[in-house]
Amino acid sequence: MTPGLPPRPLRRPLRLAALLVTAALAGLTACTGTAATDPTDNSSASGQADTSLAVGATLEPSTLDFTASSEAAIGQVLLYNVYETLLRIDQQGELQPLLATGYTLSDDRLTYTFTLDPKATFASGTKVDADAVIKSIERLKPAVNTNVSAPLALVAATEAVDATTVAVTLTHPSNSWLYDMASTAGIVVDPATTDLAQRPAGSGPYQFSTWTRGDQITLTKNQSYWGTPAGFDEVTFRYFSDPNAMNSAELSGGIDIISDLTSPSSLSAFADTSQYQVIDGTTTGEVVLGFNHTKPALQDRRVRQAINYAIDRQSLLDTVWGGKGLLIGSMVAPTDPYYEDLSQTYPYDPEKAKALLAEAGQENLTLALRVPVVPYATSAAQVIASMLGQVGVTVEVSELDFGTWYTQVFTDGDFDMTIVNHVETRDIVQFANPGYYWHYDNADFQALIAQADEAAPDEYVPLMKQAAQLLADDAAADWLWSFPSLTVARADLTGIPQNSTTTSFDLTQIRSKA
Amino acid sequence: MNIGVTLARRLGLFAVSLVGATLVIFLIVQTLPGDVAQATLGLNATPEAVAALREKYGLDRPAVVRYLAWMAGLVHGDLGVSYISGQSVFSQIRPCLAVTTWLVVLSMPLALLCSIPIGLVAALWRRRWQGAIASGLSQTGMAVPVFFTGIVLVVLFAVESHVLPANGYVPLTGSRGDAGRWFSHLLLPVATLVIAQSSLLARYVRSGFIDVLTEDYLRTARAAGWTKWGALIRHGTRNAAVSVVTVVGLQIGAMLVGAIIVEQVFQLPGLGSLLLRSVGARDLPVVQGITVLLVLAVLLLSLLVDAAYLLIDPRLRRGQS
Repeated sequence: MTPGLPPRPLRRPLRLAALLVTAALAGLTACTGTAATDPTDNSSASGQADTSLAVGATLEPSTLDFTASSEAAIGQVLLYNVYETLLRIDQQGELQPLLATGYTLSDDRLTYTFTLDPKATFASGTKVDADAVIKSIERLKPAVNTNVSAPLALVAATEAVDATTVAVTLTHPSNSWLYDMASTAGIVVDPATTDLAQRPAGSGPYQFSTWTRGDQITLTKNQSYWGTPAGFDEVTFRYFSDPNAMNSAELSGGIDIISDLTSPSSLSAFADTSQYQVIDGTTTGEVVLGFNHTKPALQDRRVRQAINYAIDRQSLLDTVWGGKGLLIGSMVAPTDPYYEDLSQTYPYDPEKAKALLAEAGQENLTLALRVPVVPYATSAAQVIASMLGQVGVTVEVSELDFGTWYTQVFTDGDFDMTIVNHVETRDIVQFANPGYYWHYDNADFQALIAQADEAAPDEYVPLMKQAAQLLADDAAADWLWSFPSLTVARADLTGIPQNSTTTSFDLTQIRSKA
Repeated sequence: MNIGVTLARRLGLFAVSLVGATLVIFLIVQTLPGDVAQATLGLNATPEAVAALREKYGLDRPAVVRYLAWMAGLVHGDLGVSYISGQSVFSQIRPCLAVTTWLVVLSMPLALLCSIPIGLVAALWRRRWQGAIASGLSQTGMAVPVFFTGIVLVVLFAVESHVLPANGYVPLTGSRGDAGRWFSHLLLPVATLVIAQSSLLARYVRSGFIDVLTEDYLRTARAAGWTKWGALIRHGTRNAAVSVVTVVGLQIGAMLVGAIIVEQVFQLPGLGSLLLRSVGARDLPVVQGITVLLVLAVLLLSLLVDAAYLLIDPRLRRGQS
């Protein structure tokens, strides 16, 4: 059987490989040869660039009901694109008007009065008025997702002052409440929708269209959007379990944007700036080397500090994440208002680490480092094991799939150290919860966090800075790096979000120049 | 022993295997650490919220009760409801099964078609250069990992030349259905599978024919005036086919779930990908549903292979054991 493959223009270095493959295909090409020369359609996105956009993403949500699950993948698609909030968080981490044009805070700091934009309507055509906002708050209160129900539990009373004015009274003053309400907890749901899992409906510039499980979610333009119209008639989020496949899709024109590149080593493939742009920003994720504070050795602050001194975080970051990301030094994301660079609290100093371990009587320390099987954790674990080995700490690394990790580490507390990227916004407060899986129990820190939340707004930031500093001084964990947001996009696209300050992949500003 | 008894015995064995398999599947799946409630609620969940969700899914019931409830459903053809999506397991499996079935249905006949000439050449000229090339090709095809073949094809036909889509899937029918795009999206994955499978099958075709070539009946046929090719095709093919049919049956079973590597490389939403995702999310009803279906498919295939033996080899029909 002789293959009759028509000549195809290929670059020279590829010819040999192509010939080899062609030879291996011997019989096959005879059967499918005609199809192989068909000009096919991978232009689903690029051919109609002005009307549709394909976005590649890593994690597919398991449900679209944000009240039932805390997955960031839900907000990635729906927040700000399909659903809107009273206020939103911008790329710099600042609050900006969205459904509300502004708000006032009462003198007792208990009552927030929001003025709604009179133009605001849901995609269904219904007005976003005071009643709709109150109905939404009441509806979301019993949410299973604690990221939604916890902030709403602070709401003592709501009142529709008039059609475009809502007053919300809290049980006690809270500075973080307003911020939470600018994200998932503050979503205003269209009262007409009955099933948030099947028919998510809000007031955003895009509407939910279809979801093919295991493959993609499609949004369509909200034709009657009350604000600046959306840039595309259709946006598809395509899910890739394999980062190489996502890169190939971008390189072959199958998708227009890689929303969350998880293989920094592959960035060189997108070096051609006439075709691609690489956007390097921050996220709210902190990659934490967490300690189990119930273990006697780790209850000793000197041991925790020794570990911090023994790990060269810059070379760790260079090795495992291509140097992308920021060294932080505490549980604060770079876009948080109380962010300070604390990365030099424990500069790399193995001698000091050895001295501290000797002082603590822990020269023969063995620690179990149990990490979930995710790229950043497994590769960081190996480097950390070797760095701690240099100062005489034996590290036993084990890799667990996320389900097993939840049981063994998160629930049963069977670990000494673990590595997880904590993506929740303003999650420094988890260190004030002694029941959380680190079991960090520090009364001073708990008091400081409570005080900051209830303080006057202008005292909030200084108090939170103190809290972050306290955590760093106490070496409550080793904050390895702030997770970067790496986005690759076609060169002609504008308005791609740089920083991920919420779970949203904000499509609202994206336009095509072509 | 006649055919009826043979078939009845096979069917009995089939039923026993299936019930045994459900028990094994259930036990293995239950021993997976972690559960869906924690996986859904994430790192900020309170223990109370996790407990409430476990109760909602019935995970607080004893294992025996859960097994019996699942079996009762299976008897009625009900695979249960997915924890994650709230949809029936079958409705979740169906579109994925379609993808995987297309992969198998398109690639297996092609692989067989390609393997016969390669195997035949390798057998007939096994001491000459033609045979060496044919054997070398199939050896190479077997040695190169499937994912590597897939990536090479993606680089050649999608990244470098933009002739075909790199990955993804478009259904043949339905609201998103499009025959042309369906075909172009399946071309590279099918080619990858054909290369791997035809290489493997060619080995069996080769050894099958080598065995046949030394048989007395072939020499007799030549003596009776048949040409070399005529004798081989008339008398050799059926005999060589027995071992190939066995391997084809095994390979189809293996491909139903084993296509997972190809599904990953080409991001096809098939059965293997769904299984992998469901295990990760601890969506146990879906995991159980898929494994039961796979067991059923493998058992059915072995029945079909046995039936094929009877068709191919008249000696078996006459009841020689």
